[in-house]
Amino acid sequence: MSRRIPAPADQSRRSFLRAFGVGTSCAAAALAGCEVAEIRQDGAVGSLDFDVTTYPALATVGGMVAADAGLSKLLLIRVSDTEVAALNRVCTHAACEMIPDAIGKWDATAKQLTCLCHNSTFDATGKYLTGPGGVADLPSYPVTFDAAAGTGTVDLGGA
Amino acid sequence: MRAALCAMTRALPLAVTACLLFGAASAEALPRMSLTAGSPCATCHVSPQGGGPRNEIGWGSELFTRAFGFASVGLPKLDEQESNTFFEGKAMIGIDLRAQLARLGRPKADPSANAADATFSGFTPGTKPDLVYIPMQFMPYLTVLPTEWLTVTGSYNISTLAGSQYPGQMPWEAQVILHGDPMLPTLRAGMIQPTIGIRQDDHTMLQRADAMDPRRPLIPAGYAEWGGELSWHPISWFRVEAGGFLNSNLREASQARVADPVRTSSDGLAYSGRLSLMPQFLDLGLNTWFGASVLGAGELMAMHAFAGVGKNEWGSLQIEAARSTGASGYTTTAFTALASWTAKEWLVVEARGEMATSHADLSGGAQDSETRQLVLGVQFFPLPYVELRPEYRLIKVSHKTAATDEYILGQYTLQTHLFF
Repeated sequence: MSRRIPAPADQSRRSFLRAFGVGTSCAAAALAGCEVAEIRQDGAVGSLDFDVTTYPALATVGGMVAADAGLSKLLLIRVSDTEVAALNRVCTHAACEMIPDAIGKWDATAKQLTCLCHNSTFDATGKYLTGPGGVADLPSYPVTFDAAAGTGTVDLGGA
Repeated sequence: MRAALCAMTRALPLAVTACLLFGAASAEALPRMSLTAGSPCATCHVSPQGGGPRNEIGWGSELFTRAFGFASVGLPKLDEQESNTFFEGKAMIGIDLRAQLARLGRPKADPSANAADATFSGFTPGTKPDLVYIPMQFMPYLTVLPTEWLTVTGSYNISTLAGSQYPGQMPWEAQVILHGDPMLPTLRAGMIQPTIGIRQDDHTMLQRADAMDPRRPLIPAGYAEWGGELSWHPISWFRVEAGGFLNSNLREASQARVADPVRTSSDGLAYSGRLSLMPQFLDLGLNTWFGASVLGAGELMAMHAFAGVGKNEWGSLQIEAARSTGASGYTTTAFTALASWTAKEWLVVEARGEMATSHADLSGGAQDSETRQLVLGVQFFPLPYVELRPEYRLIKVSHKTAATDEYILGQYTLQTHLFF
């Protein structure tokens, strides 16, 4: 710590505060508009039919499989005897794809899905539970499931 | 020494503050600084690649990149800091703290929305993702220079302890740099990022991403591997790099998309290379560069070509094209154009347009996607070592082979950056 760099002449505190105030006001005005969030889900893939023959893991409670419906990347989870849950398998934290037994782990007892990339956890409805901050819920999709027949349908329009 | 340092810091345009050479380094980079200043970034940075810890000249330049001095906010003593070095220049410290306020994720469907209310034809208003505060970088640096030809430097991104990191991102980097005769190559080795195209300080840029899912980068921010790289810069306008690396982190990044066709082999080595030409046209005051790079590992190959022109106190224009290929016919191509205008040394206006397309032959059929992104913003340095970066970002993600999951998101973001 042996050298000293001379500071240039600076403007006053008043001018700083004035500039800061003007900048903040302009930013606030700009923030009032122009934000937009729009989607297009025009039905190219409106539903996904499945059965336990195609996805044997769904024959038992606690089973989980990855299924694609067009570009929709799903996890199908046999939550109970009568229920199958369908969630988007792209983690909302860092977008890891929760491939069963690789990146995604379903705890049948706790009914909790863990993304092993960074241990974000979600419940069977996709609700974010724990893990790194700033994580949104996983999109979930309504499922009709006939346990006796072992068949079901995921309504992708319901996300 | 003091006079020499003052002369250097005055002679260097304030835009040299970060003076980051277009390349890979241990931290984020603003290549426009190098383009407008026309200075090698080793002028301001410890690493010959630029980025990361700043040397005393870089530190001193940052002190003067400001709209207002510390005295303006009642802290005149801070304007009289002496240096960032210790022990007769044998050690240096530094830090980057960066956070962003932004909406993460994509819009969700709103069952009550009416398509007639949409701004864009064919779309329906959705629910905005939540606005969240994202700690991106809390990275202290320590650099030791035991001899004139050896530099040891390292950093740790403490913010990753919260778990917020991409697959393949490393929370720390460490390297030894051997730099002897200027006519000989410089060797850097350790946990470092290979040189890949132009490294910008915005990891959402499409040149390292995938049009199918632009939030999921092919090459994540802070990506680094164990390995080494030679850099040869014998004359001012010519530079070449070549390196060899393990690919464990690239593999981790690819495993996060294990159902996708982008894969790297599990045990192969990664290689990288870049050639850059940087002619200067002094009569016109123009600095330029152009070149190309390649990064390969297993079945993944990423190629980048870039060009740029800059004029001191005016601004710069950069373009970069990237094409990555993988297994199963996977390709993603991206093009970026980035213009910056230096309104003041402490206020730079930037505009960026990007387009990327991706293709993959999945088991369910081919998948083709296209993403476009427009970013407008400013880099404002109100005080020494403080940057505020408000931006407006508009992104559109389209899929040609299926119509689900397309979205448009326009949002304001604010990035705060404290650095020393």
